[in-house]
Amino acid sequence: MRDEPLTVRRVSARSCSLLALALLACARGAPLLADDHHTVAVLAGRIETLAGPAVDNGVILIVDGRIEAVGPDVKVPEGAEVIEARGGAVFPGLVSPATALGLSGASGGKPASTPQYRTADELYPFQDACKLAARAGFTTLALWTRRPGISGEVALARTVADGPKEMLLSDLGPLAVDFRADTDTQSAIKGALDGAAKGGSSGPGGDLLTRAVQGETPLLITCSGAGDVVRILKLLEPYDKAKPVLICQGDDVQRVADQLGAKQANVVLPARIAWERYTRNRINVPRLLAEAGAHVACVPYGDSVAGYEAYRGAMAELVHGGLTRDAALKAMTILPATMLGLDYRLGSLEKGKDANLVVLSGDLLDARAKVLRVLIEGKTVYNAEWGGLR
Amino acid sequence: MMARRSLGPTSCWVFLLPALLAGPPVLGAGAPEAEKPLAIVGGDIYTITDGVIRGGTILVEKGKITRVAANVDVPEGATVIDAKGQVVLPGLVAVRLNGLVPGGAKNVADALDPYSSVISFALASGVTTAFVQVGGPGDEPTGGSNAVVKMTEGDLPGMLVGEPVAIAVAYSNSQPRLKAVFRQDLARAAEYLRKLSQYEKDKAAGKKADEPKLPAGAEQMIKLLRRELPARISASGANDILAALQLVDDFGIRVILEGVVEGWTVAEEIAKRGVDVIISPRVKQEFDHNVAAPTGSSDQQAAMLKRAGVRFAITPVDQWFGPWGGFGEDLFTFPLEAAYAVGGGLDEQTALEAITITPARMLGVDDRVGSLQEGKDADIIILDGHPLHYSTFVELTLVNGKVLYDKSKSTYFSHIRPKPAPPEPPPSPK
Repeated sequence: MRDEPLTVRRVSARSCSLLALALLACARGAPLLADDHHTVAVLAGRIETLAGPAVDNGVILIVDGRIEAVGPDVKVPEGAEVIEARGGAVFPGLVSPATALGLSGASGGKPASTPQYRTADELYPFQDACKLAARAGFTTLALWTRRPGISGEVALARTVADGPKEMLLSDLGPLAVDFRADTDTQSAIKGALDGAAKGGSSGPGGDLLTRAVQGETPLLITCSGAGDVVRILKLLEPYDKAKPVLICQGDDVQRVADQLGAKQANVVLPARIAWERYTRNRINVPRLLAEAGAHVACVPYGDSVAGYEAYRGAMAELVHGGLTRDAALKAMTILPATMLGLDYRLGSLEKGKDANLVVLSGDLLDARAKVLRVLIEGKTVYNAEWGGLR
Repeated sequence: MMARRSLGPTSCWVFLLPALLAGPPVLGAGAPEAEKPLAIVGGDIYTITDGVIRGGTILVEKGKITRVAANVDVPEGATVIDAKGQVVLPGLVAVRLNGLVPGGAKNVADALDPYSSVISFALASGVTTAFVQVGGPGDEPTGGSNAVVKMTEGDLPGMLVGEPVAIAVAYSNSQPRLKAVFRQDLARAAEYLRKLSQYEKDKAAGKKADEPKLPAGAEQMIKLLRRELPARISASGANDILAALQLVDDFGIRVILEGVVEGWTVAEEIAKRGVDVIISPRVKQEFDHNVAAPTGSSDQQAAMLKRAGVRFAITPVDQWFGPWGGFGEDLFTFPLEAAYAVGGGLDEQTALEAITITPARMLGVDDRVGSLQEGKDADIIILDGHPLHYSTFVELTLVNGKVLYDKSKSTYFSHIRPKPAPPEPPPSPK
């Protein structure tokens, strides 16, 4: 693919003024006029839909922030804003299923059950960390701060928005649990989930616990290694409706690959080739778990802007180390979206889904490729031509 | 069937090479294999409790030892481990292991990790059972919790053997307040027990009596007074040892003395009261210039305790696996600590007992581990030389009849394996 500068071409002067009006309306957060649909067409050299085979020389048509059509023969309607990326490739916006990027909430503390803590109340969008994540290709973050025990409610957030409220994809978020293999943390978690399972808990945040136990919202749970996995699988046994997502940090979870594979467990792993403990052996844990049959999503190794910026390269390293390209792309997009219960609107480029996409000058896993543009719900939130953040 | 041979350093690589090329290990490759009977043949079996059987056979079924003898027919279809020329020993019992369980847990069971690297180290060092303590006495004379743990790697329920197995007590002349509090607690609980037995007598006799009230926090003291659990007391100097012995005289509790250095100066007193002792023969302490009586450490302590009739277990100076320092004085070289006791005049048999059956007895798990006897857990280690020799390595470690460590496959000592000859240099240009 050629490295070609992107150009935005206005189809007519009339649409230009309408577009300006629409953008103005968007910026104020007011709904668009009913008869005035905001239409965007992305012309791409290659589209990785993640919902089927890649489309070469195709068009993504976006109407009012949602994908209307994807394919090689999609007609661009008159008046549409056209994003020209014939020399580049388009991917679904990246989704991070567990991060504290840009949060100021203090982690740690004594083990407790605090389901009433809402990350949504901690959002602070007037810092650049999330915008910088957008520049690295991310459109969605599951934000929460780790506190031992029941940490609270996850904020499902856009990386770029006008304010804290606008960041939120949904008023309701998954349940976040920070597991530690000690007595107090385990009894705090067990007590809270048991209470919710037995006829619901009425205390603050009780509805969130109930939704998590009933499987209406995912249960995100941290674990530091294989030993924790064994304990968590045992701990969650009574709650068979719950949809747990295991957020693993360890470099030894491959030792329970069989158990995780047999359960087709949802596992989130840092994107890196790790060292097998106390050896010189390098191990590709995401690959080993994916091959065992687990659903593997990857997060940046190092929950910082630098980590997010290194993410694509780290994923490429995993592919270089034997993870299939398909598994890697899914681990960055549709799988984390599915784990967060957001696959109905995120994670792939299909009709009806949010128009969250990354436009690159080349392949997502190619370190040489540049992020040219990032769209969230059809709106450009990052453009390389801007020469900086906006 | 898996065959193992004892091989010299030169032929070892010849054996290793096909083993590496052959693919996944045969042993431990699934449940049916584990259910198969296992025979360890040809090794010199140090049973610990019944002498040494040269070229004997051990049969294992369902994780238990079913037979230990010189001449045994190996059952049809059994997995055979050839230990000819090698030494077979019961898995070592560490009377204290630090670092297996992180702090913060209120009991050991809540914090065990069956995939801990400490377990890998333990298995590579021949340790299959250990005493583990979390927390300890702080502002109170007693505190923390403890357990006996087996190194069943990957099997969480199998790890916990018993919890708790002792009560950690701070009873030292350097902490007089705690000493007084502990004696007071014991006396109060003893008084309660006396009243309780009087009450029960009265009740049986039909007399009217009030049931005595259980003093707050007396449950642990009652366990001590009823000799259900021993008190583990750190006592290095003779003064602290004698103070602890006074507890035995006054309250009749069971005591295990830990970190004993001057035990040799009061060996007769210890023996008289049947108190157990834990020592590290490599600990050195200078004698006290201001005291006429013998003080300080003695390299002959173990031999002197033995002569006096004191039961003792041996533990390394550093009671953990420390690849980051303390190497050579930690649990990686556990049997070496016992070898130092032999250097101080102790017989080999007692030295080996002090790292196997004696700690098992102190921890109350000698019905399961600590010796190679029929009916016990098949926790077995196979060594390439004499157990107390410094150049000996653990070749195989079995826990519950399963091979959990195999030196020829493990990465831990891969740098010590015979290495292949360097490749031929490329031909030089003409």
